[in-house]
Amino acid sequence: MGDLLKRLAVPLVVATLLSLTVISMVGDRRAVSEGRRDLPAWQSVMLEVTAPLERIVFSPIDWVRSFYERYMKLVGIGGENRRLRTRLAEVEAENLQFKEALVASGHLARIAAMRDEVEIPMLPAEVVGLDVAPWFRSVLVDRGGRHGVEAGQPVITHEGVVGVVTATSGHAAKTMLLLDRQSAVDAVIQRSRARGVLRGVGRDRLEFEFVVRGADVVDGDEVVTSGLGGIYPKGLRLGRVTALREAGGRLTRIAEVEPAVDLGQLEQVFVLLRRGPQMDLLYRPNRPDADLEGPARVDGSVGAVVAEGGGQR
Amino acid sequence: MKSASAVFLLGIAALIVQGALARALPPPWCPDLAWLVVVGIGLRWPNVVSGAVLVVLLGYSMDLVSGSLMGQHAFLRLMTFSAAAVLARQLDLSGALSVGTFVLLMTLVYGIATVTILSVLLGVSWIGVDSLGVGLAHAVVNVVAAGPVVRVVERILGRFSEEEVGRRSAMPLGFDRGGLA
Repeated sequence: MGDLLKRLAVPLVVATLLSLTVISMVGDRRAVSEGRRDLPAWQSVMLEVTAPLERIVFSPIDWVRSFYERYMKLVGIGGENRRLRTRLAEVEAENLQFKEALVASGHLARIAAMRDEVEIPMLPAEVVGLDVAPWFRSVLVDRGGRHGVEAGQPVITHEGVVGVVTATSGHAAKTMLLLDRQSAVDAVIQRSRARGVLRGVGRDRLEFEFVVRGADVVDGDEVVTSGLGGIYPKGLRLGRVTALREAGGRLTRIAEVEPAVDLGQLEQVFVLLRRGPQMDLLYRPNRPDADLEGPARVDGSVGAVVAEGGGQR
Repeated sequence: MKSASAVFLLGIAALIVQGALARALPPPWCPDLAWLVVVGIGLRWPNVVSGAVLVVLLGYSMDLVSGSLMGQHAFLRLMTFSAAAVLARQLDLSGALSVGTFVLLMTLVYGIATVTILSVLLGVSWIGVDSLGVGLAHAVVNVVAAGPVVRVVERILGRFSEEEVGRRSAMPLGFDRGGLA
């Protein structure tokens, strides 16, 4: 008996550990629908420790990079400056014309009133770490639950959408980037209003799958959030169409989209301290039907609403 | 216990350095140092049970800063450890070529398994042909980094638990005898 136990000890321990990891994976999959917003204490401690350490380790690399960007790239800055000033003057002139037109039609006052209603508070945050595995695309930011950050809140920069917060500890938050394979955002072509879903494919570009096969889209079209997904407000820049192709075996076309934000060079971001109403439903604590309605069911029932952002931690 | 603590700290340090490197290198070109520590443990650790526990702890640490499912890296790292431990007891995995081949194949398997788990549990679309290029690039980078990382694990074991390593006579420790350098 003793010999048997001795022989079985190794397989038993390994099998137990394997079971533990599988149970935690499956349990984690259900965590979203059970309304968990923050990481458990022991996980938070680990995240709180690693985030500042990564920042310390990265600081020499950061210094070299910022030195290069500040001084080496100054070559040719004069020409670029003149070009930008010209462009700025053009844009300001256009802006004035638009304002005039809006005032004339009486829309400006209504838009100003609406802006007051829907204005979303933003929290600046610094990116302190990137996902270390090539199979995932996420970043770690230095603001967390203590600052009002919650899972499901959008993260943006002045250039456009970055992603969505998926997990928080006290002073850090994990943000899934648009590029992640789990990311899906309800979007429209700004020019033609053709609607579809913008998906991450795990590489440096996105794929925009149209709802209608004959959607009006051409290279260079801007893709913006539709506002229908429940996570991102309407009209945020997502990217620009760079190529079009047929979707193999499906009655639709796919546009390749270059993200509006350089997601490989993120430093400063803003967390929108608001979650859409659908996200509140998804993340609501103690949801009575949580056990019956896992993420897949929710995805299917509201389509891109929950597909947007992936709905995962 | 000392060697386990030292290797655990090495795994955490690898994770932090890897996180910093990820900001300077694009994803496939950043070596998975923390995973290579796990490979080193699988190849050189004398006791399977303590090695498995150590690897699971390192896997959960990785889960905190990477991926979306808690336990995914822990699961895959335990599988990597098991494969390394079994193979190291059946084959001579002391040379650069054999360890390099193992790392190359396991990196690809790791990537495919990662996407498969996401596909099964979260319904994420399965891997595309062009993703294989990313996987191959990452595998090559891991092969290059494998030698130094495995050697560090080996040295820590040699430093803290010479007795244990000595007892493991069936395990070749041949990195200094024609290793990966």
